[in-house]
Amino acid sequence: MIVSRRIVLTGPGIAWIMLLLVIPCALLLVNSFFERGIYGGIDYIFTFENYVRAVDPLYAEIFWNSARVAGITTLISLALGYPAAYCIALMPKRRQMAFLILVMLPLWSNYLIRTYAWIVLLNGEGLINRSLIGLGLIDAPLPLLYNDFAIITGLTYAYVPFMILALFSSISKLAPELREASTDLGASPLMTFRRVTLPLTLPGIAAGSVFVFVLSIGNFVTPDLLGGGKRTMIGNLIYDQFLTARDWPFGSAIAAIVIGVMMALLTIQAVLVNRRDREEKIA
Amino acid sequence: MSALLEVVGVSKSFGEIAAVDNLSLSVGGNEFFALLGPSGCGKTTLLRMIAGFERPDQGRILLDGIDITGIKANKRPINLMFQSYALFPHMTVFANVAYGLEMEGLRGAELAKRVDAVLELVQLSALAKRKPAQLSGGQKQRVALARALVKRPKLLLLDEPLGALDKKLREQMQIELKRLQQETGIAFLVVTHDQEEALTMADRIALLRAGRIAQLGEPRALYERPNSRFVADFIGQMNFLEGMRVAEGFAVPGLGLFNAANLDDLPLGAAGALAVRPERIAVQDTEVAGAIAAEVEGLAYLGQDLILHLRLDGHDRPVVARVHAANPITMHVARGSRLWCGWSPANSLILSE
Repeated sequence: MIVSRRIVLTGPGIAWIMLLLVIPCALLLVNSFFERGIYGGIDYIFTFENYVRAVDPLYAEIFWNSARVAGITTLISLALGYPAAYCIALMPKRRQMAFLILVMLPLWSNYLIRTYAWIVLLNGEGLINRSLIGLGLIDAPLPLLYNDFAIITGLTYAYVPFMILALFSSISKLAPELREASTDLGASPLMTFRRVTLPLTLPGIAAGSVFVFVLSIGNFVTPDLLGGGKRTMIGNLIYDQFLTARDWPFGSAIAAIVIGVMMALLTIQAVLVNRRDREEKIA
Repeated sequence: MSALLEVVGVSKSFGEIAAVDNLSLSVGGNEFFALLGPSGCGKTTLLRMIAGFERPDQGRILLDGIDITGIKANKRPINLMFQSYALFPHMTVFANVAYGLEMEGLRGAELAKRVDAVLELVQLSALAKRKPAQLSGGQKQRVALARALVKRPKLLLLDEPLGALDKKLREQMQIELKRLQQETGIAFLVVTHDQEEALTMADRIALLRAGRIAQLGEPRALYERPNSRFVADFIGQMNFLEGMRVAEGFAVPGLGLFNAANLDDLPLGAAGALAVRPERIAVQDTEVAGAIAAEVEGLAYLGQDLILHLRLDGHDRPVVARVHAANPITMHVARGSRLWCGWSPANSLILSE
């Protein structure tokens, strides 16, 4: 009775995950071990060739470049997001909600439109360059668009809300008495942050960072639009393999590697958070 | 005893509400002082101002004669034991206690020596390597105490220190806190809403009401000579018999004339209440001259004492009497029993406000 009810209740959810997540991923994994057909299809001949190709220095550099861009994006998001989340967490409850909505507001508009907006801002004739020239700070426009700077700016802009939300949930859980106790025991505000606030919000930092990193490394729209297509990131590579080169097995292999890396990161983060929670559960 | 802490005319409002209202008091160098009062009386706000977490709107706070009103919390030689204990969950017991000394720049062997000594003082040496989550409530309380004591503050503030403990442990810790205060020679300022706790531990008590001191004095003085009905009612239990001061004494309608310890303080014609503690009412089961006849309306057996709810003949409000279990009448008294009770004028007070 209980068992059958559980199946009824969890069934739709499990079916959803199986149909839209597990099965596609499994297909992807399976495809990555076959050969590419001459006209773009899949020849069902087992091979490791796709994976051997993926670790070729050419592609390894793309991997590395993507990780670098995603890593820088993550660090900048953390540097921008922590003070923001900290301030919101210290606000009275009513104002917190208003500010959190402000943080999330951009997410309600279309990602492409938001990315195009950055082209308008960053290009040679754009708002930023013209303002700087107008103020007499520079003579010629700065090369702000179609480079790593533009990609990182676009990604940071897009994903900093996720960082703020993750950090906010962690910082707001921290009892204010802990900071007061630290002050009472003679710690300066900086020392309190370093010894109490920062270590106790590490789970939030980890969650936010993994979030931003994973979203950034797989992104192909922003590098395409703001990077001007010159700088290929791993997301673009996969996109090209499926839609331009029509090499599904190779695209699948790269995608499988990226998914593997992401899952590893998420697992490490989850394990770390679990372990800390068990150790430090405030009874 | 020279004053260690002086609070001079301190006020603090939150919006429209005055939490602390022009309050002054002083605490001696080796004193166990209790701030007692119902919730919302301003005792915690006062404590937080002394600790440095709130700034008074008006008034000054002096420590050893030096004005510390503008000094930040982390620079004051005062430590606070938080009601929630506020132990750092990511640190061991040892690291929690060592934290305050590290902030003073202490390192290595000297640090370890001081921490070990204070852990021994609160009998926690065996648990030094544990994290707070692995401790019981009583153990956490000791860590919080050790963490504050290790700094050797001039004044230790304790915010409802025993509030989270169960009754048995609380009684044990009351004696323990008293011992620690005497052994360390540090002045303790305890905030509590529990009058029994304050009576047991404190050398002096300030009973607060609506941001002001209702009465300040030694426990015995507050219990024996309350200056108002509020104090009399808050500290222990009190019977009030409404009446009026007349030429011959204090007249209680239906019961007659009474004398009281402070009868002469009350002006003629003033209304007030005759206040008698339940345990000061003598109860007998045989009629005696001058005693008031009463009927038992209800009783509660407490082991060492028997609580009697009495209806005095001619009086409409019930009176509570507390009879020691050794009294022979406790053997056969029951609902509806007829008893005779009385009290000596020295054991009663007239309270006009």
